[in-house]
Amino acid sequence: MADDDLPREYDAIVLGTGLTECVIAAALARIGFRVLHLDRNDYYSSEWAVFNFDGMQRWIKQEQTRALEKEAPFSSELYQELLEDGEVLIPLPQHGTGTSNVVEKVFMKEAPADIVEVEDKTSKLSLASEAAPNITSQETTESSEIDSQNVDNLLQDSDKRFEESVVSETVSQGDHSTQSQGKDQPLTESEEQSENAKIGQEKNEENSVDVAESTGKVEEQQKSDKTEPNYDNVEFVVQESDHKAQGAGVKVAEKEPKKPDKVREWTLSELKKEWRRFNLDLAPKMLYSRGSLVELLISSDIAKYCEFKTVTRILTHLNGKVEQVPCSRADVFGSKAVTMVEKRMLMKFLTFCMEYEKHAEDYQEYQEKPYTEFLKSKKLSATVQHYICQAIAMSTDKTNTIEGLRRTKRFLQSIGRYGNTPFLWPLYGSGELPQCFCRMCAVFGGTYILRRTARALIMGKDNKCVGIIDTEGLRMKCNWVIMEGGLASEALLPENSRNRKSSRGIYITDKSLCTDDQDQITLMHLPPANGQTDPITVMELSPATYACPKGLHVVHLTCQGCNSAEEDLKPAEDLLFKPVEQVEPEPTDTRPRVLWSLHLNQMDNTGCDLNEKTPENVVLVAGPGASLDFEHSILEARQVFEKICPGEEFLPKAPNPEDIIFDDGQEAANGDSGFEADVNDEGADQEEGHSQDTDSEVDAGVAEEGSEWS
Amino acid sequence: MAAAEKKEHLYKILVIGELGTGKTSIIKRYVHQFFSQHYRATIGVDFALKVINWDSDTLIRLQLWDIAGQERFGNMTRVYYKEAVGCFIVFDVTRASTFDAVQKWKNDLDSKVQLPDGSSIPCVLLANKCDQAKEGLVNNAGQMDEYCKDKAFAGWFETSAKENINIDEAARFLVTKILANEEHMQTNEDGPKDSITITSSSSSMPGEKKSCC
Ligand SMILES: Nc1nc2c(ncn2[C@@H]2O[C@H](COP(=O)(O)OP(=O)(O)OP(=O)(O)O)[C@@H](O)[C@H]2O)c(=O)[nH]1
Ligand SMILES: [Mg+2]
Repeated sequence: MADDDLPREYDAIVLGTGLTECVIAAALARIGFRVLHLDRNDYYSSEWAVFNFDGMQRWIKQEQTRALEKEAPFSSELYQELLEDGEVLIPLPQHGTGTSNVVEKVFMKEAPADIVEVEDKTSKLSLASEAAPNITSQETTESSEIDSQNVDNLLQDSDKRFEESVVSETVSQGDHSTQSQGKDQPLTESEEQSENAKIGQEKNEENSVDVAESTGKVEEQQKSDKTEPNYDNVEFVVQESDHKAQGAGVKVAEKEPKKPDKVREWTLSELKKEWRRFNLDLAPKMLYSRGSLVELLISSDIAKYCEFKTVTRILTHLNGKVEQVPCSRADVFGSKAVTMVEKRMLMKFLTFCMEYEKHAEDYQEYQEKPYTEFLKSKKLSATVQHYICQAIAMSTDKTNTIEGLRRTKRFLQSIGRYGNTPFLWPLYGSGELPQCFCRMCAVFGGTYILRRTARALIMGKDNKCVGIIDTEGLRMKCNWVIMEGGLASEALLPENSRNRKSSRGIYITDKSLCTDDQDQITLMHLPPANGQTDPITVMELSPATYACPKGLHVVHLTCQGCNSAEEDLKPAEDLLFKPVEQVEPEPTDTRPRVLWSLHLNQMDNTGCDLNEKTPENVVLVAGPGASLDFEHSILEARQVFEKICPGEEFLPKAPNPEDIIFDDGQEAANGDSGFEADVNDEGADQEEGHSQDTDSEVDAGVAEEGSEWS
Repeated sequence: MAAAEKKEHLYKILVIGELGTGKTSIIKRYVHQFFSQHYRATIGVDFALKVINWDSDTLIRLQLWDIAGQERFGNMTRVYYKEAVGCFIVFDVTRASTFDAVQKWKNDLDSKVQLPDGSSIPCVLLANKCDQAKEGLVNNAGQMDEYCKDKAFAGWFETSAKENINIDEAARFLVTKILANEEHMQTNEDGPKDSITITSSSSSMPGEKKSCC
């Protein structure tokens, strides 16, 4: 199309749009690098992507196709005339993928054959489509086509009580050098990334947090900390969500947790009608309120592109029950789950943890011993020990004391900045965040092309990469190539890089894990199961995050991969959900029922040095990995940036467009000089009282000051 | 407390269309009253800001979002579309192929952003470079009207960034549509309007804010 105008020379070519690649691309463009950013997919965010239900169906098909197709052998003759003397090509796998064992299952009736009965049972649940006809009438027409296609594909026999459709069980860890190169099965649309944008506008935003804005609030809070006694700032930490339904009169069944039979019975076709209202993440992650990603979003002002909600509660599984862990001062104070004595214990211990380094004598002898032993020695009750070890430190019996203390402190430090838990969740899913960095890169001149990647690296003399041949057969010169590790060929990857993987499960459920409230965003950890060393992460997203329509929840399970995701996560599923095999579950079983699930394994190369074998100007970066947070990605991005441009500032704040004064006197005199932006310090925006300087002061202050626990 | 608060609106408007149709030129002309044959794209800003004194008690700030490098092949990130309330689709009257692509842009737009009530955002078609010889459908005003009705464009204008023809008029027309939508929306909505207002401390994002002085 516009290839003729496409420049053929860049400072950096970035392959893959995972978070790390996007942060690096933005940082390079920000300081003036000419950046070309390619992604072979028709959606942004690579293995970090987020899809609506329809997009997820396409992704599943795509992965299935990629896993099965064999790559045609690479023939370098095709590109000979593009090469200069002495240059050779390193082919890149076109079907290589870090994803494997993709299995989709559906546990719903296909269509509301017995719709009368369903409606009868749920007469209190007016469907969203009835409540807001002007919104859904349009969607219904669009999704009906999808229904008929996909229902056929997924369900052969709609009479069975539970339908299971194994879409792909293929392990795609095969030999990449022999995989085919043919054109990827093109996905028909790339809309899933964006079409849900509108949904947010019609919904409630009441506990959505704007990072940059909230720094102001934090400052206020710090003031109040000084003038008032402890744990009194309840109005800041409590995130009571006044549930404002999108349509009038929508009541969700969880209002009556005692009567599980009131939970709406969904069918697949009903669920598919709501396909736009899903945002299902492949690699969901949460942000520590004082973590490096939040700081980066603020310091670079990329925060203006994203919205967050605070994670509202930390749950734990204790004595066969799911219960809430008090972790802010207000929570501890108000908790009914612990006694007065335990409250004091917890208060005292958590306060100690905030400055444990100063009290080395208290834990010295336990330093290398398990954290659990240290907790025991502190005469904490069993419940309190459980809270601290499993929920707060997110650790296990094997975690040593020094590590346990470090994790406890990290958790506590982030409490109170935006809410009563340490975490933020990005609206529309964490797969939204890479796109925010892409926009920044593009605004600073980066060029983005999806559905295109590199076919081969061109190697010049001295083992230096001089450019790429792209999948359209164009030669593009560059000084640096940065690429997603999953896209690299065996020749470039270190041996151990494919050893580790993460196991993930995505579940659409009919109610919350702990149903005393709705609009919750939940984090929970379960002890490691067979063979694993790290806890299993459980995230539960309510419709308030736009992860799913009203009346449903989305649960994400993540752990280290030992076997397939299905096997690894089975114990956790058994604990959390109603047994799927059972047609008529125990009436006393109040656990959620899984309506739909997806299992997958992702290669986890966050733990190894990916660049042992790469040419010096080719940098491989890791995928999302199993960790809960974004710390690894941001650290890695900084390191790569520092390697490429030592000493340069990493993502400085972009000038505020409203402060830019166009100097047309000069421009008129010299028409060729371009439209350089002048940042006027005393700019027109002064009346609003937020010059950039004040902002960074606030930020710095926030970074220094501790949490409400300090 | 000031007695009469001036109402201030902040609107995000997208300017999309094929390569080289004059999107940046139109924005430059509208916001900076300037035209150049040769220039580089503006680097480092999301949008250009145009402040309009709409009437004695309304001030309107228009954020005009030019497409940056990522949209070369029509792959827009969600952040670009987010919270837009109006759109210009630009084609070049000297190249019929850019008109053919208009439909693709309109579809992309409608699929990715909608008003809170689910309807599509008002979109105005700009037939740019009208100072030059025209090619194709644009020569027939009646058919263009028909086309716009058919494809749900709010209207169309022949514009020239070079000769400053019709650009103010087109913007005024679009703003009128946006204001009408807003009135309609307000009567439909009972709760507070916080669902659209997103403000960050350092740069305003679209939404509505009250003037503070
Ligand atoms: N004659 C004439 N030329 C115009 C007009 N508007 C823009 N141009 C010229 O058309 C060329 C492209 O204009 P741009 O404003 O860069 O177009 P664009 O849509 O921003 O292009 P991209 O950002 O590359 O997609 C430039 O050489 C402009 O000078 C116009 O109204 N009349
Ligand atoms: Mg332009």
